[in-house]
Amino acid sequence: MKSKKRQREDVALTAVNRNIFWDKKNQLAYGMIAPAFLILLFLAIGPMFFMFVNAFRTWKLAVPAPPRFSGFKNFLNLFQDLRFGNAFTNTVILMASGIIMQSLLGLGIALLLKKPFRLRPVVMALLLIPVLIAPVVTGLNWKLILNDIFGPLNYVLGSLGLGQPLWISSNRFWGLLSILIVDTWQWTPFVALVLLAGLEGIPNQVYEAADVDGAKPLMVFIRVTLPLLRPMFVLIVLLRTIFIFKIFDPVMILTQGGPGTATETLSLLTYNTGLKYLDIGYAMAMGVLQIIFMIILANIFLKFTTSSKISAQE
Amino acid sequence: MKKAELKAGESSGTKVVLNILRWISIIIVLLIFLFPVYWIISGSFKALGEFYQRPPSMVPKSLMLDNFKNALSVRGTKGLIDSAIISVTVTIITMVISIPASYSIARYSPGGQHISFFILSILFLPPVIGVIPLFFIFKTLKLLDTYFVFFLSYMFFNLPFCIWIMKGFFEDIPVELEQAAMVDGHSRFKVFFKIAIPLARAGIAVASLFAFIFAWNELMFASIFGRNNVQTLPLALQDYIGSTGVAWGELSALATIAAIPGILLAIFMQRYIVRGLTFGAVKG
Repeated sequence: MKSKKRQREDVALTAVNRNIFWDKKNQLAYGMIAPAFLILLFLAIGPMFFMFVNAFRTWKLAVPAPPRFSGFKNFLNLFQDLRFGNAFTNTVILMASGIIMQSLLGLGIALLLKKPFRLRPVVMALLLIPVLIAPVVTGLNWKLILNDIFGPLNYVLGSLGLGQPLWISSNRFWGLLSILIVDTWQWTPFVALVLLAGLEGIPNQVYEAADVDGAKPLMVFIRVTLPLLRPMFVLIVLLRTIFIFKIFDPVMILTQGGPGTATETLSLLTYNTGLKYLDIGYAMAMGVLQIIFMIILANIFLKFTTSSKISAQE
Repeated sequence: MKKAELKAGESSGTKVVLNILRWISIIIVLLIFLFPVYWIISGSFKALGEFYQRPPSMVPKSLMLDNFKNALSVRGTKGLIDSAIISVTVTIITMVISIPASYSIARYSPGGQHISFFILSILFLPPVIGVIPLFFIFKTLKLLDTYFVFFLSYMFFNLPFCIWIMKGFFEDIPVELEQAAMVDGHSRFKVFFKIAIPLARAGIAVASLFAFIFAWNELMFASIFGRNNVQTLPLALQDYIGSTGVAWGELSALATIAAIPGILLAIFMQRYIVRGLTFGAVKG
């Protein structure tokens, strides 16, 4: 929801564009966007329709009964389903711990890289490798590293005289921790670079002013730097929430949700329900809940990026 | 004066220490984030026995290429070829469709804010939500396990992403430039091709590389829509992992091949990756 004034300005602007610049050629605008729109309509609206219809039906492919309308039954079941609750809790745990870990580590790395040096672009480039490498490869990497018998990590822990956990295959705690480690490894550099962009967006005068006032470095950091980084932190929380909410690949490769269902996340549970147990109606009800959550998040993101100043920063 | 000198000397001394500490920390950070990458690459040169060594073998004994040979002889080649076919085709289709679309949104904004919102919401959707209905739709249309289904379904995330990213780049071009050209009598098409596209070439390059890498790395869609006819590299790798990984060396070799585009992209596109992955919210 934009303010009325801005909305009016927007309308005025487009009106100006249309009158002076793009007069009477709107067919072209629609023509240019039509192919993309039609494909997305098929890929998104089609499934959406399928989803909303079947979320209110009982349709199990494993049972030879035709699908039938069952109202809110799927949703009511969902709220009492311990497995769904478990997957939801796991997702929230990963989200919260991931965001905290990645923000803290990312902030540390960003501060390390704040002062420019000749090799900095190289360091930044190398740090981006974890983000872009195929998730399958990342998962496999960590499966080797976290292997309880011949993995290098347990060897190091062992030679330090520490315990050697079973990691992936042991229990919920270690399983979730493994997934968290992988996600943190993959995304911390990205978070660091976003925060670095934020740090560089803070004008030098601000620090000079603080210096003139005789503020101690720690005070400057707490009172000046952190508050000015706030938009970047909001952005990171939003983006990480969106991405960890749909976390799938690392879970699928590392634990497959196991042992049992201990480390299942929402995406994996939906996948299993729909494509393994073939309980389509139930899976689609889960999908509807996730869609609602995502639409709220997309709204916040759009409002945030159009209203805040971060996009203006260079 | 002596005091001032002393103070200066002291602070430059602490400065050196701080600098050294900073460099040590940077190196530790790099080691942590690059070690897993090193591990998979070095693994692709190791003989099977080396994987089970204690202490773990940090450097492969010899630079043997058997693992690559074996990996590519079994399933790897099929995966590699299919991945290449699909990623390249998907990138081309994505760009042909999304360049005009993003220009149209940036300049004319047909449909106003709703279109932007629609595109962004698709981007934020958990793919699993799209994939289950699409599976049944494609099954009914008898399209499963064909290249076509990959080309089409990868538009699900590539189109919104590329439109969104390039929209920002097109918006950065001053409208006055295009207006001036139109006043000079150039047609709208000419303005689009001769002015807008060249000026947004960085955005187009970024978007196409992301489109390529998304298609190259994708696992979930591939695991549902592919099978025997079409098997991308991530799918081949997942099969390997599933078979309680005996051939760690081959697996590492194939994974190394799969990792190459991501590594190259990180190194050469460093400047634009943050902009891309924040959906244009941060312009580096």
